Amino acid sequence: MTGESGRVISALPGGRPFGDRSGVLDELGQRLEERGPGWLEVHLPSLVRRLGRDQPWTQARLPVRQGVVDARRLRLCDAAAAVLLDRAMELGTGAPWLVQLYSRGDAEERRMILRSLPFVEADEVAPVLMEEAHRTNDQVIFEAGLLDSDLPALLLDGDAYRRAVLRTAFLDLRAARLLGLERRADPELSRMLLEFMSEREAADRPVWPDTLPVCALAPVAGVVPKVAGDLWHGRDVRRRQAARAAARLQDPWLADRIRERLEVERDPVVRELLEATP
Amino acid sequence: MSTATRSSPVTRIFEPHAHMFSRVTDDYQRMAAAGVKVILEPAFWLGQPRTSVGTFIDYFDTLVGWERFRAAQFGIHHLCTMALNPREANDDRVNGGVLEILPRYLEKNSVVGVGEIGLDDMTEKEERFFEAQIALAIEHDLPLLVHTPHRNKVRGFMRCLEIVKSSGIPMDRVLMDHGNEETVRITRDTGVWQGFSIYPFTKMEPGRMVEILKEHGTERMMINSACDWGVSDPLSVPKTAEMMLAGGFSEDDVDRVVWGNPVAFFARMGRTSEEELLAPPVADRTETFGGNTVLRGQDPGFEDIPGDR
Repeated sequence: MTGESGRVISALPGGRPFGDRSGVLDELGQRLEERGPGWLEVHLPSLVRRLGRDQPWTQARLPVRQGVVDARRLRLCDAAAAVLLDRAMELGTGAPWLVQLYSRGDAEERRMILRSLPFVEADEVAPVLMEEAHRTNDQVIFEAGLLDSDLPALLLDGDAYRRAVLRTAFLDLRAARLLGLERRADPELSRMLLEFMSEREAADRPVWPDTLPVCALAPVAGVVPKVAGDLWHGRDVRRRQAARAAARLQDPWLADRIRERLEVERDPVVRELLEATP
Repeated sequence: MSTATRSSPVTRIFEPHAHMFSRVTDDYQRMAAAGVKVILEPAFWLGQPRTSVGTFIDYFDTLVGWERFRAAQFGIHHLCTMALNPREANDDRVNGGVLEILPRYLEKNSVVGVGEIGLDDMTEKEERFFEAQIALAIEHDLPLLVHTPHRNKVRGFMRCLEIVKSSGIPMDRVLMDHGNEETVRITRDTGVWQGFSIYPFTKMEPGRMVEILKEHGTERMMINSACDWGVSDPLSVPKTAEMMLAGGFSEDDVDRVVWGNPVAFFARMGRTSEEELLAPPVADRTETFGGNTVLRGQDPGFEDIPGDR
């Protein structure tokens, strides 16, 4: 691949990131050069069957352009799409072309485009596409657009970001996949998550396990008592999350509750978390 | 007649013709419980005429987008064929415009054929757009799913065959659907594949289907429910499979008709494979397969704790 789109490949781990599929990618790149971005508009879906869906990388925090991605979630076809889309935009389409491509794409194309966003120069349209991914009921697309990179944390405004976190909770996906969350957590988000927690408890339905640790990043009224209460919850997972939140809060009153709990706690994971809390 | 259950020997079904756009999610549940692993949904009309190309775009997008996700929630692979259907080929508000947008859909991964194309009222316009879409199928290396008329069935079948033959497309890439006792005698020795829609009152019934299979064998034969917004049964295929067993067919024979034949026909051009269709339609294989199960965040604040969830 000529041009600055080599930057996508250079960001990927390994000297030859596409391995034995490198030849396939080179061939596709050649067709893009010869026939222009219009060719990619039709043939983008073929990347899935030509490059495949394997996820070969193991880096949980891969530095890219201005942030990080969890490369373990990246499929070969996603990375190939990033290479070709980057080159197509260099050839003159510009970033707005991605929005049109997305609107015409099937689920796989949309997923590839969304996974490409952290790698390519498309910040002017990335929030629009992330909002589209948020609106869909297709969870796979939501994950591709809002999780596994810190691009949402970097680019979304406060309201959009909070709604993305709430949806993540609603879908019972892990907070660990919201890269950069610690920079964007705020009191309003904590209030939203506490309300959601109450709603679930009132319906006798499972609570998002990451609620209290996330709220502890920007505590509001109700967080500390909830944490204290959950230190005595019957389920190990709730006590573990409460212990994690307590470690983050470092509240003096909570410290007494921790000491009380340690006198009776039997779960080794909870004990370890509580004992490590200053 | 009972439906196939998990105790039934019929454990895998490829439903090659179901209009899930018009069906409720309960149908997916029931089909999954009856052993359906794959559904193929042909693009068709929607009950009343569409008036703009934009509505086709939204409909096509649903077939390659939302329906795939909806089906996957029940462990079912959703595939489709794309086309301007024969009825709306007569409608100048949409026919030309749809032909223009079709090519980009024919490269989508879940699009495994061009269809439903063919004839409905057997008009000149229907024939023109039938021929044009056969040409697209040849260009995009895709098989045909041919809708044959529900009136003038024999004459319609013969005219469809004439058009297909004159196009030059290999006959083994053609599925002639909605067949019956008369049409099977026309198509049997032509090399085309034959589909039969087990659809109450207007098309085929399970008992008749079993007799057809007894007389003509299982080679290149498929059955489907063609379930849509009419009175139709999404479980027609598993029910007919059970009737085949009761009628003396072996499990291998049944598997050939309800699984092997549709897989062979629709997977032949490489858009999918039997291996892919036998695996669960999950989005991220690292969540399910053992190859890389340690998906933990590095942020110690949110590190997954073993045993949680």
